[in-house]
Amino acid sequence: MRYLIRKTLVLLATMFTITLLTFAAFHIIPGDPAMLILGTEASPEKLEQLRHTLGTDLPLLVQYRNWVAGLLSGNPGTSIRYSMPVADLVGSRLPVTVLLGLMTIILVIAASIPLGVFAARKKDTVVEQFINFFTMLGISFPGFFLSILFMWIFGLVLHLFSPGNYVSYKDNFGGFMQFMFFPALSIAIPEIAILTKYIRTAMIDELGRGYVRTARGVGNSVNGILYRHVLKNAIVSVIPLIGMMIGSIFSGSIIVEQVYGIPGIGRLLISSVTSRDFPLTQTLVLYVAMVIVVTNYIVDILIQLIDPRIRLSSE
Amino acid sequence: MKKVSANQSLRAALPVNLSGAHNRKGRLFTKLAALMLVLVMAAGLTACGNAAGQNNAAGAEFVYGLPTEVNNFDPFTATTADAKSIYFNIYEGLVKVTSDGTFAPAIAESYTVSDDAQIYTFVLRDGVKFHNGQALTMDDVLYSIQLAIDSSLNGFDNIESYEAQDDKTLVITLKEGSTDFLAMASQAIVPKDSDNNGELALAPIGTGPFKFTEYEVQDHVTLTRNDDYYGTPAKLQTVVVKFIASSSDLLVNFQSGAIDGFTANGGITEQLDKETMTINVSNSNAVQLLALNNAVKPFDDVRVRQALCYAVDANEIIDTVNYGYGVKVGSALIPGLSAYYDDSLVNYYGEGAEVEKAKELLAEAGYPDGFSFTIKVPSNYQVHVDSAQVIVNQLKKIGVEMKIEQVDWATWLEKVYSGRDYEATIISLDGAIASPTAFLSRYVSDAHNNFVNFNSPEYDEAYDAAVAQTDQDQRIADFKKAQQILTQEAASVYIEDISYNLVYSKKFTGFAGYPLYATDFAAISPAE
Amino acid sequence: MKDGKIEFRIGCILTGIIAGLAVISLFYTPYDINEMNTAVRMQAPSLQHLFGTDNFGRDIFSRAIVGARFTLTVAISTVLSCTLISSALGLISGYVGGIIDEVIMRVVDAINSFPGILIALIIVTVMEQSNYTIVIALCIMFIPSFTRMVRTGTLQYKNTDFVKMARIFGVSGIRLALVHVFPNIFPLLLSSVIVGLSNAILAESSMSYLGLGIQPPAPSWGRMLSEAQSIIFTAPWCALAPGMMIVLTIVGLNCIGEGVRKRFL
Repeated sequence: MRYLIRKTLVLLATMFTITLLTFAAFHIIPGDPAMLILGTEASPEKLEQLRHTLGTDLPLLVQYRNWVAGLLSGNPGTSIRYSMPVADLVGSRLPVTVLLGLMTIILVIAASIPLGVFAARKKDTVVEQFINFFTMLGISFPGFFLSILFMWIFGLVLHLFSPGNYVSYKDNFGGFMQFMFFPALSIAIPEIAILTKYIRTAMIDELGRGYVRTARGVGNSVNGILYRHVLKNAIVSVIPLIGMMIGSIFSGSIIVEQVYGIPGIGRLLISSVTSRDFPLTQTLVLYVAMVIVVTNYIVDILIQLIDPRIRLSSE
Repeated sequence: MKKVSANQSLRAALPVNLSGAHNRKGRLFTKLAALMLVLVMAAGLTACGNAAGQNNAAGAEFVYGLPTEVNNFDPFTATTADAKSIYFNIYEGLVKVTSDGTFAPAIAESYTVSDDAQIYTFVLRDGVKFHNGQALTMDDVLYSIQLAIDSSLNGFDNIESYEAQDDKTLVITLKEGSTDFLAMASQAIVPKDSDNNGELALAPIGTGPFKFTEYEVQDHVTLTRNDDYYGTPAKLQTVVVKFIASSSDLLVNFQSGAIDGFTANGGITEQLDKETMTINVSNSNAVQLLALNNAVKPFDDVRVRQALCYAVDANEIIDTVNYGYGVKVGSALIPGLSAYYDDSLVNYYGEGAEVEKAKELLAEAGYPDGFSFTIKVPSNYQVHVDSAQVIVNQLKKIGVEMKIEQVDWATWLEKVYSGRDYEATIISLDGAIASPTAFLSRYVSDAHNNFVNFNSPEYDEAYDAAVAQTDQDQRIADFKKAQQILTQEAASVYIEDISYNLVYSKKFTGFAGYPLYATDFAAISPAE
Repeated sequence: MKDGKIEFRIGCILTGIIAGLAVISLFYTPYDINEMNTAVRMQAPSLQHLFGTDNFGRDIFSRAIVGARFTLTVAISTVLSCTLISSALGLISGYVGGIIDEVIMRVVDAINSFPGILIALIIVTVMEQSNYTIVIALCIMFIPSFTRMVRTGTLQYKNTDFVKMARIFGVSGIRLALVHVFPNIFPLLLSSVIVGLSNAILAESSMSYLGLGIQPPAPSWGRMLSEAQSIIFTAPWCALAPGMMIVLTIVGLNCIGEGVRKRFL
C-alpha cells in the first residue's frame, strides 16, 4: 500500500513537471500564431486585433494558469488554428491513432511470441541463426525508410494498396483496416525484432532453470513445460518492456502518419507545432506524455503484484 | 488468386505447427497467434485491388490535391493563397477576377467609375441567392463592406464613404483616386450578421457556383454545386479538396488515382508521363528573391549587393531547381502584370553569371577575398532550400561563402520577416492584389513590411509619384522607373517567377490559369 | 568458436568498411560533393557514378561517403557527451540518493515521456542552428535512459560488501563512487554505448527527414534520404544508397554490441 501511494505521488509530480516543461518549451520557441494565420501581408493593426482575440497577448503566467485550470475542469481550450474545441479535435483523431497502435501491438504480439519461442526451442541451429539475422535486420531499419520502401514496393510496384488513398474509419471500417495494414507493419517490424529477441533470451534463461530439469525428470513432455511454465515466466519478465514499447510505437506513428498521410494524433501534433497552435500542442504533448507515464505506472504496479521481491525504483 | 497465395505462403512461413506440439493449451495458443497474424494480413491484402480508381465513376466528382491545409474560409480573415484559391469558388464580390486579370461583373450587374477613379457606382444584380436560400439584398452588401473596413483589409482604408442610393445602386467614394479599387470590390459579399464572430471560418455562406458542404480537419473539404447559381452553373457535381502535405505524396496520389488534379512544381512535372495527363503551365505570380538585409554589413554597401546580383545566375537556378519551369525576372515586379513590368531589367546584371565584374565590385568595396554570411531559409519550402544550394555554389566562385540555416516557417515569420534579424534569406513574395503597388510598396523606406530595410529617398519619391499619378501612361512609366531604381540599387537579388503547373487527368477538361490565386472549379468539366 | 566471435567479426568488418570510407572521404571523393550538373541528373548507378546521381546531378557515392563522416560525427559526439553527463547524473542520483535523487529522476521521467521528435524540434528552434545543434538535441533525448542505467548500476554496487568495507576504512564518497562503483558499471555502459550509437544514427536520420539536423548542402544520410523522397519513384537509388548505408552501419554496430555482450556479460 505504501508503495502504491508513493508511486501515485511520483506520478502526480511527474505530470506537474510535464505541464511546466511543455508550457515553457512552447513559449520559448519563436513564432507567433497570429502572424501564421494572417501571413506576410498582414497589417500591424490586424495582427494586434487577432492576438487579442486569441488571448496570446496575455501575460505568460495568466496563460499558464488558464490552461491548467481549464485542464483540471476538463476543458483544454480552443485550437487557435482550427477555431474548434481542442477536445473535439483530439477526440476525432484519437480513434485513428489508437487503432493504428492496436493493430501494431497485435502484429507485434502475434509475430514475436511464436518467433521468440521458436528461436529458443531451436537454439544453436540454423533456424535460430536465421531468426537472429531477421531481428538484427529488423532493428536496423529507420522507421521512415521502411515506410518509404513499403509505399514504393507494396504500393506502387505490387499495387497491394493505394498509397495516399486514406479511408476514414467512419466511412468504411474494412477499407480503413486494409489501408492501415502497411503503416502498422512499418511501425511493428522493429518492435517485433526487439520483442522476439527478448522473449528468446528470457525463454533460454528459463529453460536453464532448475524447475525445468526437475519437471522434465518427473516425466512432463517438453512442450508441456515449455508452454505451461516457461513461456508464462518469460512473458512476465518481458512486461517491463511494455511501457517503453508503447512510447516507441507512438513515436513511430508520428513519422508513419506523416509518410502515409494518415490523419491521426501524430500528424496533428506536428502540424500544431509548426503552426504554433499552443492550446492544441500543449494538450497533445501532455496527453501523449500521460499515456506513457500512466502505462509505466501500471507496469510498475503489475510487476510489484506479480513479484513483490522486485523493487525497481523504491530503493 | 494473389490473395490466396499470399495467405498460403504466409502460413507456410509461420511457425503454425510448432514442432507438432502435443500439449493442447500450447498448441491452441500458437494457433491463435498465427491465426491472428493471418487474419490481420488478410485484412490488409483482400480487396486491395479495388481501392484505386473506383471513385469518380460518374465523372462528376473532381478530387483536387492541395499541398497546404486550409482551415479558415472566412474571407475577412483568411489571407493565405490556398484559402483564397479555394473560397474563390464559394464567395463572390461585386465584381470577379477573370482569367486574363480583368474584372467582370458578378453580384453587381454593372458598374461605372468616375474619370478621376474616385467614385465607383455599382448596380446590383436581380435574383442572386445565398447558399442558405436567402435572397441577396443591399443590406448584405453594406454589412460586408463595413466588415471589410473593420477587418482592416488592404485598400479599404481608402474608402471615404459608401451609401445605397436606392435598393439597387451603391456608390463608393474614395479618399484618393485609385484604379486598383476594382480589385477590392472583388472582396466577398456575405449575408448580413453572418460573420459577427468569425462564424464563416468553418461554415462559409456565399453566392458562388459551389456550396461548402463538409470539412474534415487536416483531411479534406467538400464543395457541391450551387444549383441556384445565377450565372452558368458548374458542370461538376462535387469537388473534394484533399490536403496532402508533401509534393511527393501528391505525385503518389495522382498516380494511384486518388486525386484528379493538383499543382505541381518543376521537379514533379518532370516525373510525370505527359501523355496521360494535361499540364497547364502558369506563373506563380510571386517573385523569388535572394533578400539581402540592407541594414547589416556587408550588405549596406551597394557594391556588395550588386556583386551578388552579378554572381547569381538566375537561369542556372531555373534549370537546376525548377527544370526550366520558371521565368527570370530581374525586377521586383511579376511579369504577369505585363503593362507595368519593365522587361528591360531582365538581363540588367547579365545573362549568366559575371564573375569578373562581381569580383571587381567586391574588391572596390573592400572585400577582395570575399566574405562569409548566413542565409536563413524557410525549411518548409523545398524549392527555396534547393535554390539556396545552387546559390552556394555560384557565390563560391567569387569567394563568398554562404552558409545555409534552415528555420521553420513560424520562426522565419517572426525572426526574419518581422524581426528583420537576418543577413540574407530566400523567399517568394506575392501581392495581395493584382496591382504593382502590392509588390512595390514594401520597398518604401518606412513601410512596415520593408523587411530588406531598403532605404532610398530617390525610390520613395518615385514610388509616391507613381501612386498619385492618374494618367495611365504616365503611371506605367513611373512604376517602371521605380523598378529600375530597385534593380540598379540592388535592393535584393531578384531571381525568378516560379512556374506552377496545373496537372490534371485526361478525364477532365477546362482548367484555367488566373493571374491571382484562384482555382476555378466551375470551369472544369468531365471529358467526353 | 567462442560465443559472440562471429558477430563481433562481422560487425567489425561492416563498421570498419563504413568508417574507412568516411576516412577516405577526408582526402578523396570521386566527384565534388556539391558540384551540380543538370546534364547527368537522376542517372542510374553506372561505372561513372557507382550509386547513380541525384536530382541535381551530384554523385551519390561521393555524397554517401562524406555523409558517413557527418552522420558518424553526430552519432559519436552525441553518445560521448551523453555518456559523460549521464554518468555524472546517474552516479550522483544513485550514490547520494534522497531529495537530489528524487529531483533528478522526476526531470528524467518527464523528459522521457516527451516524444523525442518534439524535444529535438524545440531545441533546434530555440537555438541558433548550426550543423551540430542536433547533437545537443539528441543528447537530451538519450540522457534519461543512460542516467537510469547508471543509477540502477550504482544502486546495485553501493551496498555490496567491498564498497561497505571501503567505507569503513574511511574512503571518501567521491572516491568511492568513482573508483569503486563506476568501474563495475563500465561493461554495462560499454554495450549501451554501442546501442546508443546505432540509436543516434537512426534518430539523426529521422530528424534530418523532418528538416532538422545537418544543414544543406552538406550531406548526411538522413538529409539525403529526405531530399530523395520527392523523386523516389523516378530515381529510387537516391534513397536506397543512403538508406542501405544506414542499415549496414547499424547492423554492424549491433553485431559488435552482441559480440561484446556475449563475451563480457
